[in-house]
Amino acid sequence: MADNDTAEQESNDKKPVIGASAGDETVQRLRTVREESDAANEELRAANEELQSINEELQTVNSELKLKLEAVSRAHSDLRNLVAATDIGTLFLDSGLRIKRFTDRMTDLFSITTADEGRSITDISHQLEYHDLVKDARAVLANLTPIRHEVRSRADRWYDMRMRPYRTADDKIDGVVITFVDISERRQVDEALRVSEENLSQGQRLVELSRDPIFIWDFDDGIVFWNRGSEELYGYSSAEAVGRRKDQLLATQIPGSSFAELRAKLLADGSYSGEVRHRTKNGRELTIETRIVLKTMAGKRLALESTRDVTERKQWERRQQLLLGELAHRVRNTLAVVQAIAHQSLRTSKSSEQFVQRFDGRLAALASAHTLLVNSDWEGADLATLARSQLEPYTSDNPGRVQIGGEPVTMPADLATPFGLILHELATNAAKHGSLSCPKGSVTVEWTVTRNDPRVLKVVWHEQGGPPVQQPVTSGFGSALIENGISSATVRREFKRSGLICTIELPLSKPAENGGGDIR
Amino acid sequence: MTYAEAARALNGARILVVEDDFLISTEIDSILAGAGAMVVGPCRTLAQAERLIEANHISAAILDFRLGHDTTLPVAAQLHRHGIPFVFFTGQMNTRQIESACPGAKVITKPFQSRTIVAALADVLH
Repeated sequence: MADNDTAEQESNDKKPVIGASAGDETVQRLRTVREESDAANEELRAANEELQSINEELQTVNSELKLKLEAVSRAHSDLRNLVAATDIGTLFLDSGLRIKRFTDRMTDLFSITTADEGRSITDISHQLEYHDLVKDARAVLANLTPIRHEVRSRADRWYDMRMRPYRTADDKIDGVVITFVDISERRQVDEALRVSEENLSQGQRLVELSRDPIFIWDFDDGIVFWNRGSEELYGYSSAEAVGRRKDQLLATQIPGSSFAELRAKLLADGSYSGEVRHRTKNGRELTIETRIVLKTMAGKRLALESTRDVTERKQWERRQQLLLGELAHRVRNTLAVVQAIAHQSLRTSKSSEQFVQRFDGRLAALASAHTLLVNSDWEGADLATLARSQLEPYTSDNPGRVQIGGEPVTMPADLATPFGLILHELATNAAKHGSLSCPKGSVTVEWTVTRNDPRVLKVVWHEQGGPPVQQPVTSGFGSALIENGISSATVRREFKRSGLICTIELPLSKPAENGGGDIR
Repeated sequence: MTYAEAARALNGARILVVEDDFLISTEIDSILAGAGAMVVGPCRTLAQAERLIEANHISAAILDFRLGHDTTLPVAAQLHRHGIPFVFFTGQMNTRQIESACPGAKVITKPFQSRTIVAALADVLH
């Protein structure tokens, strides 16, 4: 441009002098100018081209920037949406612990609004039972080590809190990111699980330790569980029992039925209860009350069985039943004996006073013998005690009148009552006619037992110091009782002047096995 | 049947008594004697009863069901073979054991009244 201006100025300056030579010169100059102009033009064109290419480059850059901007904008929008959509409470703090950004969730825990951005976290109150929040944030900044806690809110919710340093893209630390994930439900589930596991383990321990036999068997296989009570009752250890088939191990028997029927009933009803027989390891047969429930667990049919040993109770019940029957029998028999005593006493009595006296005496003798038998559980009566009790009414005024002695002998229950009655009759007679009828008279009752089998008891009743006695002319009921009261006994009476000697020999049969004697 | 009618039926009859308790057998003796019957026995053992049945013309028998540790079922069987009627008496309340062992047998329970004994024997003799 400057060149053009100069050329114009020069052409103006030369206008007044126009001549041939001057024309040539002018032409020459014009040519020069033109050339210069062309050159300038050329340069301008080149410059223009360059500008055009720069422009194009700029346009490219611009469009690239536009694309980047769009990407950034999208990323930003994504981030905003992410932050808005996330359920995770997130708090961004700068290196001065001032709030940079937070997610909506944070407002549940911290009293913050967007206006609080830029304020220090120390100024903000929160709902967490977490007093070391600020301290921890500083620690993360200082050590660059993430911190993680499970913290509780005052609303009794639990959060998994993670605090980690904020790293910029170029790996600079520019604050702290704190996230809060609500784990209340997980905590509740965990807690419920823990409680249920505790209950389960307690239950299992109880079952394990229970003295009641409890075991589980696979309906289609062997025993899978065997508790302490089962070990104690059946004698098989858990190791011995597990894996074995239950019906084989315990030799299960069902009275009036079969194990197959039990299984069928279990399948049909889902449960079974009743009385069965089980055999222990050492071969003892037990009467068992059992309860079984069939449950399907994890595809297996499991029978949960709890048993109770009622062997002793059943035996006791049977014995009780037996004893009751025996008692009824004895009572009825005794009533028949009393009836017989009454009738026979009445037949042989001359007056009702005499009847009452005789009947009372015999009834007392019977009762006294019964007392001894009851005291021995009907095992038998000690002969010395039996003799003393029968003679006691006649010696109360002078105990020295009667001497009783002999080796210890237990009179079997079936002999004790009639023998007591015989002693009673002997004593009554002695008191009436014999040695006990006068003050100086005495009686010795002595016995021996032979060693042969069966052992024979020989009792000698010896009266002394009484009036002379004679064999009675008529034989009354009392005499008959003495001589025939015990069918197996041999009775000999010698009516000597010095007094009666009565010898009774009777075989001692072995005590009855049921210990109950045999009063019919 | 009145007691008098029953006693007439028993009059002169030979009744075997199997009872090992002296007092009770004495009582039965008295009852039977009172009704005019003749008493065979009383037997206190099974062997004695067996002998007496074979040796005597027995009209009827009265048996205590339990004799010591035994029962008088063998005696009942022997009587049955001879076609001799009999009655049992027992202190057992539960007479099922007797009824099942000896179906149709008459059973009297202790304690008994004399008329019951007399009537039962008259009945089986009838």
